[in-house]
Amino acid sequence: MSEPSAVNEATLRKVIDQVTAIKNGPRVLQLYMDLCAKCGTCADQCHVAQSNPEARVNPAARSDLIRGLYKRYGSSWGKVLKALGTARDISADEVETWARDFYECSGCRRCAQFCPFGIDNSILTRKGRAIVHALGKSPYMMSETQRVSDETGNDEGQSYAAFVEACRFLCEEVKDEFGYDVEIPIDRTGTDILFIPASADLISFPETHMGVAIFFEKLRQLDGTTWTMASTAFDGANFGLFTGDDPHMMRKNQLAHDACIRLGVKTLVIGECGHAYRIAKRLGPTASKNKNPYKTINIFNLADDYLQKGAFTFDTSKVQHSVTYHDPCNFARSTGIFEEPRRLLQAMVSDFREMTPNRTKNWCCGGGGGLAVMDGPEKVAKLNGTFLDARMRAGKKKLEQIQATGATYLAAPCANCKRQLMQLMDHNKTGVKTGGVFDLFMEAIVM
Amino acid sequence: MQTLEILIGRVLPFVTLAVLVLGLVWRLRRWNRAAVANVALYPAASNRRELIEKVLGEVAWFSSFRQDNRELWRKTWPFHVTLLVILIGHLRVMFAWPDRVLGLVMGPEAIDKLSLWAGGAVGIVALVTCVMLLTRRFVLPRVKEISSSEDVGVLILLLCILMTGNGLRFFTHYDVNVSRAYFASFFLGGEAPQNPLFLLHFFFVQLLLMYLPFGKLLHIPGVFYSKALLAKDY
Repeated sequence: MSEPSAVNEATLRKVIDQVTAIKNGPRVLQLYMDLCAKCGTCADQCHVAQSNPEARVNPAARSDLIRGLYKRYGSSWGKVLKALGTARDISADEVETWARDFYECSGCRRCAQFCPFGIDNSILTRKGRAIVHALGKSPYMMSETQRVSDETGNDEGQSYAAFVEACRFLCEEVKDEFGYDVEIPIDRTGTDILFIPASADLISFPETHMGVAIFFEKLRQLDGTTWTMASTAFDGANFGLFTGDDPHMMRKNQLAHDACIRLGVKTLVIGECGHAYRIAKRLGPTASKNKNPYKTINIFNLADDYLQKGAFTFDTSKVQHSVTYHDPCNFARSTGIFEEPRRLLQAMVSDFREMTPNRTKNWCCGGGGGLAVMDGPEKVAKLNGTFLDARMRAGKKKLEQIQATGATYLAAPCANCKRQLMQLMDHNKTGVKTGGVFDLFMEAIVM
Repeated sequence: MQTLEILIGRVLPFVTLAVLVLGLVWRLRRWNRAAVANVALYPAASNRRELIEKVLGEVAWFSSFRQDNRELWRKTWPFHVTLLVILIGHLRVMFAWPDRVLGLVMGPEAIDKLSLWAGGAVGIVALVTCVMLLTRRFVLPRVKEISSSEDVGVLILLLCILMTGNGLRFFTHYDVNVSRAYFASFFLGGEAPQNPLFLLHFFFVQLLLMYLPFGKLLHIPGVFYSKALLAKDY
């Protein structure tokens, strides 16, 4: 699917058709074709443009890849607009490099926060990626992960047996390390909560999932709240958001919806995974506010509710770190999770340090939009180096922010952010430990 | 001069009006009919009142980048505000009723003084900030690399309008009664002022108005739509 292929006339026609389809597309895309006044604000606020002087990474220039063709082929004045410099003819060369160009943007939406015209370039990035995907030119890791996910129901390709074994192992780890008896129920019907993390939490970031298991055990002790995981939907990660492949995004989220119905839960709780929550809350079948017999929330909403009631006692001396918090783009700007994790951290640790800027203005880690999982060239044409190189470069602003706090632990509640930030911290030999918020819950909670 | 007066003063305005109105209606209909997705950017408005406050706040203060791009804000906010004041001030040039309304609170001399000083000041500020906005297109690398002929062309057109407008104010004796008479009989084919600078000014203005529904000036109506899309979560 991702093998580079020759760009022929039929391919160019396909690109033009998809671009001109915006004429009858959603309002947001139509507006973004019409409004940009090229003021340059987005470039000032983009971590990629701030770390790379090349013109092509200027967010307005990237969006112009689509806008220029839309104006040329979507308007009867296309040739006039071409003369004015706002429209241009399509070329095989440019389509060949679209995968590179649209995967240089992490879709963090920081530019939208500052744009005078309310333009969210990430939406045009996703449109560009959707076209790239339709041409079969998505980066290898993107299309391969989607294939595995469609085949197995999770991005890691874990079997049922591996999932069950991972849960059992984590419970044993909790017992060994902390002495608590916890259970990770699987496919239990009639529970209050279905919990879905990013499947990476089960393999790559087990401390987060152990913390979650302890958290739910604490809720059980407090008021008898019951929870379960689903063998058919234990992965909230969803690369359809990254590739612009809406059918995949819906298929994957449908698994979560079906599991909620099958198990008869009252609440779907998404774990430390920003884009999973954004899809579950805003974009997929689980997002329907009125039709679903369950509500969709995030684990921070749930934990914060209990925290506000004074349900938790923490021993802050158990956390031997000065801690700072990274706002994942999909939690902060895209779903409004700002204060809940902060309140938790401030209750759990004695030394919490805010990084600047933060919340809506937080800098992206450099690994958003699915970039964090890509290390090599991923069969993307004319990529300068590897995705790892690009990510480490794009993390410059984030690195400066983190180092300015002097913190020794970086809480980043998102599997993509965690991977990127772990690599960024190692790459720059900072000695800063990166982990989740619930990793610290596990350490600080008094059971 | 007579031919120019007829073309710019009696023929072109009807074309301009048709292009502007039909163009905007066509564009707004397209936007209004398009599907709306929830693309809220947080913190977002959770009810209509919050939404209106948020959008109007953004549009009035350019608040999204006021703190973080002072360089642009210092040029573009005064530019837009002075253009708005100039637009309002032109009501007095076109019609007699603004003087009657102002006459309720001030005398005719005070109205003339206000027009002279305030109108003169905003004309100069708009011209200076327009030059600054044009300059940044050639000086700032990140702006230069995305600027097209259209971006430069619109600013030059605005400069032409502001220069001819300031010229009329500062270098000619302009009688507002002549233009008021013209606009009062506009639809009956009334005679436009024969002043060549006026005709040039009027011509540039009409070019801008005809261009509005088709180019980047669409951000004037569009910003209300796009800011509302990002601000709305209900």
